[in-house]
Amino acid sequence: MTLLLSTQKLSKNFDGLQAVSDVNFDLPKGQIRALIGPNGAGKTTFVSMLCGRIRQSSGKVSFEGKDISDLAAHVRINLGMAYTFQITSVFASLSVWENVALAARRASLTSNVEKVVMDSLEKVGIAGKTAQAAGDLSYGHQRLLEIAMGIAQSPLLLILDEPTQGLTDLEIANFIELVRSLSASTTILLIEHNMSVVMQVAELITVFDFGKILAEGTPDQIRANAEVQAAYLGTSNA
Amino acid sequence: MSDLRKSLCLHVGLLAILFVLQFILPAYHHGNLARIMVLAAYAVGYNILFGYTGLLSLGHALFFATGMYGMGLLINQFGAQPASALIGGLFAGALISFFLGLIALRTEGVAFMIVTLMFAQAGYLLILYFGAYTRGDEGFVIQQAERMLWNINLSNPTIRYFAALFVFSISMLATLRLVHTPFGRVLIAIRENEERAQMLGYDVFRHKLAAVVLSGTIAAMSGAAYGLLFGYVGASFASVQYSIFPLLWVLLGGAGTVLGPFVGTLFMFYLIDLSSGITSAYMLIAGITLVLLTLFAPQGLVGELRRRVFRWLP
Amino acid sequence: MEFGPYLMLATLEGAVTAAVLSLTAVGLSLVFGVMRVVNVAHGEFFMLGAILAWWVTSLIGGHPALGFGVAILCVPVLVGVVAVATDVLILKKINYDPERTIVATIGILYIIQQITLMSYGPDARPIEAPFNTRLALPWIEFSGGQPQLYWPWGLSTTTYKIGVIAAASVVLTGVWLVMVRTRLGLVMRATQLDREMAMAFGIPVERVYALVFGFGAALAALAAVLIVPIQQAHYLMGGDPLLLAFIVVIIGGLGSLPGTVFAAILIGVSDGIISVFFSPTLAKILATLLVALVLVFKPNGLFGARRA
Repeated sequence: MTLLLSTQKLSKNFDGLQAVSDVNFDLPKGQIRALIGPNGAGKTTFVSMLCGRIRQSSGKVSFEGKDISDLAAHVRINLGMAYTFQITSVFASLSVWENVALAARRASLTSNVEKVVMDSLEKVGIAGKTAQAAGDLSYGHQRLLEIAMGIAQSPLLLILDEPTQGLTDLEIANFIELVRSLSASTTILLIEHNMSVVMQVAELITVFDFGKILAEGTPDQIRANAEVQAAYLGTSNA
Repeated sequence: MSDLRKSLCLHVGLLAILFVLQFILPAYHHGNLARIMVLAAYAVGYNILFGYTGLLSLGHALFFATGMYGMGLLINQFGAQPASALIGGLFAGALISFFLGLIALRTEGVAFMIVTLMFAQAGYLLILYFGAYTRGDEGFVIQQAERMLWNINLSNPTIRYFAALFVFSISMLATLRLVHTPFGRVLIAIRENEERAQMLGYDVFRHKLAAVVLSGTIAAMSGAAYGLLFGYVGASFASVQYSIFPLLWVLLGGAGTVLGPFVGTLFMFYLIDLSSGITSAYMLIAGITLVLLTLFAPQGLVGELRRRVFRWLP
Repeated sequence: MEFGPYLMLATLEGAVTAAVLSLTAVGLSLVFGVMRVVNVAHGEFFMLGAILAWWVTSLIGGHPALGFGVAILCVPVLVGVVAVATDVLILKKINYDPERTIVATIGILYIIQQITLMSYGPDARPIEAPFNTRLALPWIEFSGGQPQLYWPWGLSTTTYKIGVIAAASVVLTGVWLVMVRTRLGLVMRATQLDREMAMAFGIPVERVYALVFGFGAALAALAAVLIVPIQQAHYLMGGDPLLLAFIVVIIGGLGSLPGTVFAAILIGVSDGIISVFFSPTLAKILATLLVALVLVFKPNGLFGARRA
């Protein structure tokens, strides 16, 4: 089991608010990992430090065995990470096609871009909307667009931040299929509040609370964990 | 006809019309159009940074003047040939824009606007301060005898017109090409959502710096050309007014469109030309236009046209 | 005159500049701080103050103190009204978007400037100070081990200049008292700190904005009325005050009245000294580069509070 990503004592302090404290996290290659926890537990802050969107206050991040703690975000993305935003962040006035193309161009040869774009759009199920302005899509479709942009980069690590928010049940079912098919070539780290999705796709679950890892284990282990239940009472969406 | 072909026909068509106008226009408008074309090239350069990358500089006069004075001082003080002087002005512009970019791009939004404004002002004041070499506010004339490019007399109205058309054509065609390249698309992405562009793996700083240098170099080229073609180098071209003008032209014509800068420059030139016949306070028109534009038509003429009718306009 | 007395003279002149500058800068800082917008036309409100002061004093005639007294009371109010109009008609409509506001205020700058050119003309015209006696100032010289006062020729100031410094100090203290001791000041500071919360508390933010914008312009106009008897009224006189006010606000830090005043004194006096000993152009070059570099390397100003 080779490690794709690992962190050592990773912490983030926002002017007195300790958002993430001394987290040691290991992600093996090819795994589908879910990150769950109550609101404000520090999940998004944590993954933002992984992809370089936020700089850590202290601690280290390693990717493929190399220390990337001091690398800028765009450099880390180029090493093979992709991140989809929790609060949808697409290019609203550009077309759906252009949105995915921008993602694809960086990682593929020019001649391949068209194919990669259509492929990604088809996989998430919005291939019919290429000419529409991204901002005109429904909220759920914009989230699918985000995922398509992530896939188009053919990343080694795909970080999905609450991807099923706003999706219909059918779209969620498609999403679960998609994740399973992707895991052959991509390691997936998934922040989710939808427990049903988590239980169906995750191989391993990491539970965050108050900026620390509360528990880590298989879906069954986590389901049975009393502490996790206590932390989550009333906030899950099973 | 595909969008690409439509747009190529339109832009090449414009150049063809401008070419033909050479033979038709009466002397007064002929001279005006030559000036408009060179200034439109300046606007095109500005548009790359403002319209396509989304960075509002209030200090582009620095680049325009660098090109103009680079060219002018090389001829005046060092007796250089026009061809070398032009290249010198261009090179100076590229260098200045590179260093300005390195410093100013550490800021953004309002701070960026003020920083660029301040550096341009400092440039203007330096020109006045070193009046011994630059002749300060008065400026200096480039004699007809010196305006011979490889035995072609640039003071001849026809030659001058074609030279201006040439300068405008390369800048406009360069922009047209740029917006269809991956680099150009990234600039647009940066304008639309900078953080997203960064998180797709693009080095946003490098792209912005390249945009500043490209924009500044085109501005310098038009400044050098303007000085050489119309035979005068003066400090007024380094003043705040000449930083506001390209913003005004691009806003009026349509920021982020290829034709916008030309349309805006043409319109504004004649608006000011007409009003300066009535009053010496012709900049009033510039002020009113700016206010009306920000209030009612931030997209500009070509921009509104693109939004409502011709969606394929680049 | 020797160096010592010369320096003192330059400092005194600088103090007058600083007094007027602090009023102008506080006006700009209030607008910047509460509304978060850059008003590039601030210098034109200053100029308008000077021009209107000339109009008023020429209309009234008689003893200079009479005309001046009327001017100092009405002109800031008049300019304030003009400013409120621009806020309501233009700035509110573009929703105080920072970039659009800068472009719009550039337009307003040209409109005010050019209309003045069309009506008042390109000439510079003076107005007479209400009181203006020359005061010779002493300098200390050591001769034979004993300090002695002597009055170098040329080292003098006028009662009016002292008056300007006094007036500015009084007004600034008043502004400070309003900001920290009155409910109005509290409302302004609340809006500055958190616009959304202020709205949630029922504070009529748009009215506060109009008031602040008008007040900022009125302060600039007041500064101009004070300086017009010393400097003449000219349609282009807004440029330098704008630049200097900018520097003061950026260096002094946002939202800090004491910081702004301190920076104004620093800048005003240095500008005076450099202009006298070197050249006004060089002073301006250094000033513009200083603003740029502070913005790039110390964006919160040298004294400003750190934003979370």
